[in-house]
Amino acid sequence: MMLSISSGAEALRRGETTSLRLTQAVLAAADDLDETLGVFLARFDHEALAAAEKADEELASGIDRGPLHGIPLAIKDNIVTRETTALAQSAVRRGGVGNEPDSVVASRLRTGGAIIVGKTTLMEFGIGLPTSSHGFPVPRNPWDISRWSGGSSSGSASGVSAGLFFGALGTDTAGSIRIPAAFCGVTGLKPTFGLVPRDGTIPLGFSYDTVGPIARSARDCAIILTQIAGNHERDGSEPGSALPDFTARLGGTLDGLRLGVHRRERSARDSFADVELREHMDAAVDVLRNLGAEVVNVDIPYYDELTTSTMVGELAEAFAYHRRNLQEHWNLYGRDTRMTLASGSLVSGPDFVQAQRVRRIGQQAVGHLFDTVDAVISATVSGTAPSLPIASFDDLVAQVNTPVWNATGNPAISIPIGFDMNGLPLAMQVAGDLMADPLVLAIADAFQGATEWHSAIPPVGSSRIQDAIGMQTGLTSKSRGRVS
Amino acid sequence: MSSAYDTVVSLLAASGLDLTSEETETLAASYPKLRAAVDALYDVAVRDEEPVLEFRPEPHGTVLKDARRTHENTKE
Repeated sequence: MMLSISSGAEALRRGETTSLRLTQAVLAAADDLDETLGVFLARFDHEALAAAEKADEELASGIDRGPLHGIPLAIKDNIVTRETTALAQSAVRRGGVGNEPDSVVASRLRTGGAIIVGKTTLMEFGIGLPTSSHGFPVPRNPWDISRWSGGSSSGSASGVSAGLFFGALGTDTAGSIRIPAAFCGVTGLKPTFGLVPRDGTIPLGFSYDTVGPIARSARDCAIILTQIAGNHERDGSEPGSALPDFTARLGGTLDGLRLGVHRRERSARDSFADVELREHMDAAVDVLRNLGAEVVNVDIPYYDELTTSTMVGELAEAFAYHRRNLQEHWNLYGRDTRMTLASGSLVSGPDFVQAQRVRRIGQQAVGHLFDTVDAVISATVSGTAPSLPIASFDDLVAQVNTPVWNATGNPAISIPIGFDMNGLPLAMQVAGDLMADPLVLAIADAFQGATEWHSAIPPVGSSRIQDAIGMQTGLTSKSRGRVS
Repeated sequence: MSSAYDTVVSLLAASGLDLTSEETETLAASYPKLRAAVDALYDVAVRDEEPVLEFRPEPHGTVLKDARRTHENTKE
């Protein structure tokens, strides 16, 4: 049995632990490791312990809110919760903002009985580079603390990896859930655009931003998604028809599915030079094939153009949001943040519109691609977690394979597929048709049913949760080779 | 100075941003790459396609509000 939301929920219902013990364990783990890893921007110890006691009382009296009831989770600090001002890791938001009501997703997590233990670190406003300027922590990777955890949902991914909470919420505008999940060896889902309400989320790129889960497994992501998905009037969207239980399709085989593998070396823009990644991708594709899938090679149409469209659109939309603050508080932004945001002023109105026209063409072509395959497989990132400090935003963008799915709005999940020779996680991305989130999760779940990469415990990780539910510590990076 | 530098200075000034000369030079150095990427978008055969810019007219009547309440009561 691996560490998971499901195992925690089962232990709670068997009476082997309590929400209070779980919460005390994760808070103790944070005491142990947060100074090293830079996971939290704010902790809600008092509120979390009180909520855990209430969860235990409810479960004891027969009130069961579902699989998140009593489970400690965290939320990226660009998503508002009632406990504190969301800073988005920026001095710009210190003072003058004040506490705000829960975002829809935070409210829904509480309705499901989750224990929100704190707010996690990120790239400033989702776009800056890691820096200790203005007194914010630098998020470090539990697999090698000289390296970055990735971003922008940095602390959400590193905290899951290190065992500081069972799962977390992140946001994804060009890869900000999937990239840190890949670097930290955990699972991260960017849902279909619009599936999860963004109310209460500090925007980066309005037409690209997506809220989604980061957890150890696809099953855990499905559990969280089931709780937070669905239209809400505060999100400016109409209440729609009932959504599926995103866990319902899990546990099956891949028989009858046709998967298209997109290899970056087939792209004109970059070479897929990392031999270790290529070998692990090949092995991962073999796992999918052995699970019953037919595998074919594909090219994602307009790949480079859609990637550019996301970056241009994101810059323009972010600049529109930040222009006034950049004019008035230039030096309160981190240097890399303000420089990247200012580059949005170099994109004209017609440039933005053209990016959105190309996006339309690309969406149509990608839609046709999903007439021929059920899902598209690629590497999440063409490399591993980079060493700190990060020199350049452009260098980072050049190695990620994620923005294309923000342009099209399709769901995409990043899952671990092994380790390189330095013990750093490698990851695969599975993308599906619009609203095919259950299928994407099912493919990832089937892969994780045949492998154990997602259960690996990093060198800088806590076993306090396992202790609290009486589990054995899982696979480590030293356990090399195929695990099935 | 280069035309890229002059262009960047002009665009930053039009946006009301006051950068140091070093910061302006940094942006000017990266501008040709950004411009080339953006210009390539105009080479795509988009025909008469409309941009992905969304506008949905919505009613605000009592019936709609009742539907919203019913939906949320089942969700939360």
